Amino acid sequence: MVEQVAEPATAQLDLDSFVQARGRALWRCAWLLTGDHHRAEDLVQTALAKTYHRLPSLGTSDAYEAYLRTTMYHTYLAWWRRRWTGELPSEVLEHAEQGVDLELRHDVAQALAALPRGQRAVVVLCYFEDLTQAQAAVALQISVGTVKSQLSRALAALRTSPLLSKED
Amino acid sequence: MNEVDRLRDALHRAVPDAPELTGWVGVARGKARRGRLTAGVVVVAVALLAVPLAWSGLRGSTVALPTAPSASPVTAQPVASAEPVSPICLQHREPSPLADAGLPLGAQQATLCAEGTESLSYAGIPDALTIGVDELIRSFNGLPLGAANDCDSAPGLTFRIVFSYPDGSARVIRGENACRVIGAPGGGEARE
Repeated sequence: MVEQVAEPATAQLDLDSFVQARGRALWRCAWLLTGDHHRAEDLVQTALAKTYHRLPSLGTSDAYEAYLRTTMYHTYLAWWRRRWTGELPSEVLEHAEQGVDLELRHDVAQALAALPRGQRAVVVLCYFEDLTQAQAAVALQISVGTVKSQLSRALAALRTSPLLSKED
Repeated sequence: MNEVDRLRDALHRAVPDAPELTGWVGVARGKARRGRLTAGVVVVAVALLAVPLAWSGLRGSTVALPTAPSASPVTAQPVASAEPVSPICLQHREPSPLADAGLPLGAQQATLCAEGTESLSYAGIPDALTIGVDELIRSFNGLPLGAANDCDSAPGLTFRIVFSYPDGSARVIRGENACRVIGAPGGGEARE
């Protein structure tokens, strides 16, 4: 006889609230990391799966989000070590939205896809999530010096991309 | 506007609208459950190394697996080995759902079972482990959750460990290699 084990219901209630409040913001970061709608959703859900059991013990939504963010970025880095094939995003036109600058989105997607994963992560943390370099270092569990060097290299690479090389 | 400000502005303007969040929590919980099963792989990998060694060293001191009076040794099919398969393995084929708390302590024995695959040269062990079972459970319960995604695309050898409790109940963990396995062929990543 195999006994069924019940899971606590309280964690799910809290997770529901958190996802409703912060899910979209997390997905937007994940999109910048992955360049793909479905991979972004998968990345956020995987990070939630890895961390939701910590939600009650972490106490606050902010503390949980910091923990989740670190997990999400580490998951992204781990995935890309194993699975990333170097393909450039092709979905930009598939998910066209009205009133959106598709050329800009394409340029952003292409420019980010050309960056090594570590540089891409610090760019998203510092220039999209607006974390300080010290906060990004904590999130990625690397030194501030490494964050600085990654950002410097990323900017150097982005200067040659259409994203930053185009005149306003 | 300097280049950093241009980059910030471009990132914020380029990101698509997020999709509906309906069902995300359910998907995350499902991934967590599958991840817990995946984590069992690590235990299996450890057991594959440790249990046969323990058996060879402790065979004289371990308690033999009790078998039903009518049970006779069954040869595994189609595994290559001719080792007899424990009836426990035949009775408990499906993995048990696991809570965050993991497996309960107090199991009397742990039986290592192999699932029948032609590529598997190891047929399981007819005797059950009766020493250090709680240590094995603690090791399993202490594992972090791992994503099961990697298992989806890389099927491999499959194993089970059946934990038998004094009240007659059993819990089964099942693992596949090519996931996040320590030292498993093709595993790539160590556990997180």
